[in-house]
Amino acid sequence: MKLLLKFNLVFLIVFALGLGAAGTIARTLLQQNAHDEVLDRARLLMENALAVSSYTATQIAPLLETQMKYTFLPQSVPAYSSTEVLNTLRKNHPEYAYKPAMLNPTNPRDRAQDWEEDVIQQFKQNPERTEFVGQRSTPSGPVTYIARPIKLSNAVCLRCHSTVEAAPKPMVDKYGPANGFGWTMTEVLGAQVVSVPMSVPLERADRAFRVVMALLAGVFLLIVVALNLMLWQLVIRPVSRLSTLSDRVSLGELDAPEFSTRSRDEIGVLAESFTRMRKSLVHALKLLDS
Amino acid sequence: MRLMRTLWSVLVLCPVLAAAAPAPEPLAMLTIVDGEAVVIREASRLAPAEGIKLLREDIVETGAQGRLLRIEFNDGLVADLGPGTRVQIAPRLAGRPAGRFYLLQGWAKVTAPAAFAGPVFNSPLFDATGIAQRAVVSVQPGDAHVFAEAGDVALAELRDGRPLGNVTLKSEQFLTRNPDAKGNVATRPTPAFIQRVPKDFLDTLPSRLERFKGREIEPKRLSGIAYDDVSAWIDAEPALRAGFVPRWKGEARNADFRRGLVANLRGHPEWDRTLFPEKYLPKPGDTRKPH
Repeated sequence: MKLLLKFNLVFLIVFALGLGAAGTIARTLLQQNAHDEVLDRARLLMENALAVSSYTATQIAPLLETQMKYTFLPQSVPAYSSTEVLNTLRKNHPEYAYKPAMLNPTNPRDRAQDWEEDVIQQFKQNPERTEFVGQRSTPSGPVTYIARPIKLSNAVCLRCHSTVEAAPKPMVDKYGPANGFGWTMTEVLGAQVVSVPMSVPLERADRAFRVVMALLAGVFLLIVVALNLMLWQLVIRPVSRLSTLSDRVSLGELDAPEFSTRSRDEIGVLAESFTRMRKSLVHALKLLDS
Repeated sequence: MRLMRTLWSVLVLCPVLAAAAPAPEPLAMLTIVDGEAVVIREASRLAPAEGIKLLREDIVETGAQGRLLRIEFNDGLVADLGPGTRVQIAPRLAGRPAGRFYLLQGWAKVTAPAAFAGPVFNSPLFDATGIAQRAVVSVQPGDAHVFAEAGDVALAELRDGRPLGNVTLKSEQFLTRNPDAKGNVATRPTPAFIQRVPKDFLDTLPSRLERFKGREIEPKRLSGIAYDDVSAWIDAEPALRAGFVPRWKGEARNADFRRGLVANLRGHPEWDRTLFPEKYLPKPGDTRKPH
């Protein structure tokens, strides 16, 4: 087996093992990073929703107070404005779904579904808990979600949600007297939920993984080509030439040309040794002849 | 000679006394003028401008294209006027307490300061005797509405200028009134009313009185009045219109004005004596003093 073949076989085995190990580790890390990144973005969206809610409650609702005497304006409701803003954001990030899921909402679109009710119950049972991350199966595939509790912290909200009598009449006219009343301060009323399909982080991780593996393979090919060229140029070719010259000298062709090299490496030293040995041999043969 | 000297003294003193007479006390100020409007002072039409002071019996009118005109009274009461509105500042009303203004027609949003007392405004179908915070009023030919936007509103209902009873609207209650029957109180304003409320009434604007404090802005005179400019006032309820005879008596010498007065004399019979004084001269042989 030729030296070059041996060298390439060993290199291939080492590279395959290295690429496999690196791929496994990189895939795990990339998936974890993508998952964390998706959750971080979900948290950012949730905080954005909270900021919009707070802005609406403290700055927009007072401005609309007079208009609310005539017609109910959902734009003055924190949950409505945050949902609308996030729905706008979803045009650029359609994979994220946001909902202020409530057990007893004024607006029916905010009513919690079964699984959301379970999440809210967990917050009710553990009032200290501030966040819940989970996964659930849906017909379109597994979905990861992040939830935070909705508690009444601003007493102004009680104006619309304490009793039917205290609520603005236009609001009661619009949504009726059945829902959205009887809220109390600090009670867990619902949960902000941001859902993202699991396929999103996995796709992101796969995309990054493919890039990493392609880069590793490219670097490997480059190294293989470079090493093969260097091996050929620095080792195999001078050794082959030296071998051919040795064959000619050993067959009695004493006037064969000298092996010339300017290299100072091991091959150069070997060539010098061979030239010296050849001179000694020629000298010895001449002495024998005389 | 003595008579001549006396006459001369009177002639010299008249302008001096007139100049020394105290200027009428301003009662209110226009602080927002947005859109078509006019102020009628005595017998002149004035161009309204922000910062103009309003005097007793000034008439302020907004056109159909007017958007918002705000009158801020010295005592803190604020009246926002919508399109097609006619009000008179501090009217002289015979037989009932006069409010800060008389709303003859149109839309007004009245905002009362805390602890405001006394009659707020008058209108053909009711007088507002108390407004706790804010009320929106619409007076149109054939009906009138009051919406107690915030706080209670006390009203004295009228029929043909006579008391019909009192009613107090709780906050957010709504009164519908037509000339022939007592008002009907509902818990909410009707959708039709909500549709028609001037959009500028839907926001609560802060007072702008401070902005014009210490500034003297004189209104620009546009023209004298024509009969059509003031016919709605001349034909108003008797308690109000009686005061317009001495005010616009001089205008009756204007042919067009007189023609209008004569043509509609049935609506304002009190002008008969001014238009046809000869009818009221003592007849030959009548020893009674003419009225």
